[in-house]
Amino acid sequence: MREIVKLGLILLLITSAAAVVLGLSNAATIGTIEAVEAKASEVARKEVLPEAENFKTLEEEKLNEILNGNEKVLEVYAGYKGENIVGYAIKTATPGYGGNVEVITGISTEGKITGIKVVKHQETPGLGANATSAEFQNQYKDMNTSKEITVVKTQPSNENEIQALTGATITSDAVTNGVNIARELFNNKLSK
Amino acid sequence: MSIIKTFKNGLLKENPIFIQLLGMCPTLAVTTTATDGLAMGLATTTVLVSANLVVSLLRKLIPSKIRIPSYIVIIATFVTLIDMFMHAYAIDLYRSLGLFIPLIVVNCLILGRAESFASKNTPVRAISDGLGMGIGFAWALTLLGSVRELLGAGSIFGISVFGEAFKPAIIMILPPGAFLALGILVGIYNWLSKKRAANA
Amino acid sequence: MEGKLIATSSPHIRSNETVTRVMLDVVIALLPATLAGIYYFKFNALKLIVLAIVSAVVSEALMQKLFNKPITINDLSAVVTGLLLAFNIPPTAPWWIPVIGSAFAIIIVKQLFGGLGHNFMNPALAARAMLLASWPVIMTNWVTPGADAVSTATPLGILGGEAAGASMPSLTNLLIGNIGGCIGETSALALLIGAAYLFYRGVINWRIPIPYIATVGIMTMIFGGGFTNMLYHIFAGGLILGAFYMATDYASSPVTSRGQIIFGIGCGLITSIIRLYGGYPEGVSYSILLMNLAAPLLDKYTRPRVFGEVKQNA
Repeated sequence: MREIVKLGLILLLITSAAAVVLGLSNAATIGTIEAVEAKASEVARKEVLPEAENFKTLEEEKLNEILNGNEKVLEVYAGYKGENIVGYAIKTATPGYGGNVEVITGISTEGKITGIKVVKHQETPGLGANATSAEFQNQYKDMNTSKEITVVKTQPSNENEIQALTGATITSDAVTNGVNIARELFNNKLSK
Repeated sequence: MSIIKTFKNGLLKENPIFIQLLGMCPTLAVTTTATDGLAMGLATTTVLVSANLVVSLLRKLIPSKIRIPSYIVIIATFVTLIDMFMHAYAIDLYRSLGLFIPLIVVNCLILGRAESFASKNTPVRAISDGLGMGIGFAWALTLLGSVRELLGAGSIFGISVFGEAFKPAIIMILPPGAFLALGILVGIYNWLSKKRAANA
Repeated sequence: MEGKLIATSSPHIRSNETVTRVMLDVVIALLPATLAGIYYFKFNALKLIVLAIVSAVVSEALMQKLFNKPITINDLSAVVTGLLLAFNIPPTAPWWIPVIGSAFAIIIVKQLFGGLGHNFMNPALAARAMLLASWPVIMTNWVTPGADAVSTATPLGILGGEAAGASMPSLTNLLIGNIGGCIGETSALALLIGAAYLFYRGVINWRIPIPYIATVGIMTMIFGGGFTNMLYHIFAGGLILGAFYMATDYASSPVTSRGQIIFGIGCGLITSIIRLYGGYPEGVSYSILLMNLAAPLLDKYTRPRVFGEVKQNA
């Protein structure tokens, strides 16, 4: 009995020391971590909606209504220039080949896609992972939100067509689905 | 064994990856690029040295019956520290190593050194052992990452080597490539050390 | 024990069967399909076939020299591996694809595991899997046969909905091989002629190929949309090639009769599942590789009983 108490006490001592060290360093780093994460997201949003000077998340009521209606939408930010809203940055998650592909789509208030960015994915390196290339992402730029975007395998001949990444149709579809969700969200909820 | 000898032991003769084959999970999973391999190696080295030091300092205090939970708590503490500081100050690296930083906790290399070396030796020698093993682990990981990045992406440390005409073999940066590259490197390593032993 | 002859008690059976003779038979059997491939895909097919064979033979000689083993390239086994690998690559592939593929098949899959008879999976198929994972774009670049090769999809690709709007080739074209696909897989007829020869020579038996093809037939008829689609599934793609020439590889398939039948059925099930539900239109190579890994297990559990043996725990 005495031994168990003694062993327990020693273990308690070690774990409490560990807890103190971790608690202190958590306090020391948490501010920086939050700032770094926020800055990374802000940079990504600015990339897809360059016109905006700063971003604010939508009012809670409207945001909750959107998020509850579609679980594939993760974040909706309104981009401001001065006092005016110039567009929206919408983050979506759609299933790709190796898990969810997270895409931020920038849409201006006039209903044009200002840019997209694949921010998180687990697609195959060399194939699906090429979705992060500027070449692929720039295809979406300046497209009109009124029409659905489709994926084709060859050189696009029509408006609102995207050329699929070679050997990675599933990834291309996933990105395009994400952009389409953002597009519809803008058409149905945000532009009104 | 002298301190220097202890240090050199882990570098070559008992290299954790090529000879002891310890810590295979991070070895196979994160070595898709030379940078990731090096970063993982350095993170592991830091944890290894710190854990070795603390285990060695506390070796008289920790009763043998609860040594394993104690070592795990010590190792986990250092891993969590690394995780937090990397997240705060090296976010890109943190993103690409992802899940594998927390998994350093269960890297058998670290528990193995705590159990078989640090718990029986003085702090100075424990540090030198941790450094030797850690650097041995790091250079092997970097080599593996370089080979895979070179063949699988045509670059090394992110710098393109072969130019546009080279069509990289994507399999090398996929999981099967890890097994192929590791198997062949272990084979070459053992062949070289055998040859050296025969010459000596 | 290594290198020593293990003599067991009599009776012994004498046979004129040698490795060289078996391999020669396989090469002869593959000739019609080789010629068909060259006829349909012209010079590029010829070039790729020659390169694959040369690379396989050179790799074999090199490795055996390096390991101080007797050089046995005359047994033709490297030639067969090279030829089968060439059958598995598209006719548009650049020259280095068969060279790297054959070298991988011989050096890594065959010689590093101990050489002829010790490889745990089919070298040509393992190399194909490696090439497909490494250069997926090159390895799935199909063209129509003929001089003015246009980009196309394989019949199975069309069945899998890969190319919307493309029409299926007729069954006659499918049979004679006038379709897009790998060099050696397009002409089912030529492959069947060769297979008939192998049956006649006794090199292969029915126990792996027939259950394999039958299983694919039944599965695709029930789950893949009826009789016509079943015919496409059987005659298009690498099923005939895989069933008769790859799955029957001595070293990587079971030796017991029951084991071979289970092996064939297993290949058929996996092929059908990949074709019908998987991400790839074609599943022959992966199914055979997976079943290769199961071969030792199948042998273990289907070992025939020794008559006259007394139960040990009776």
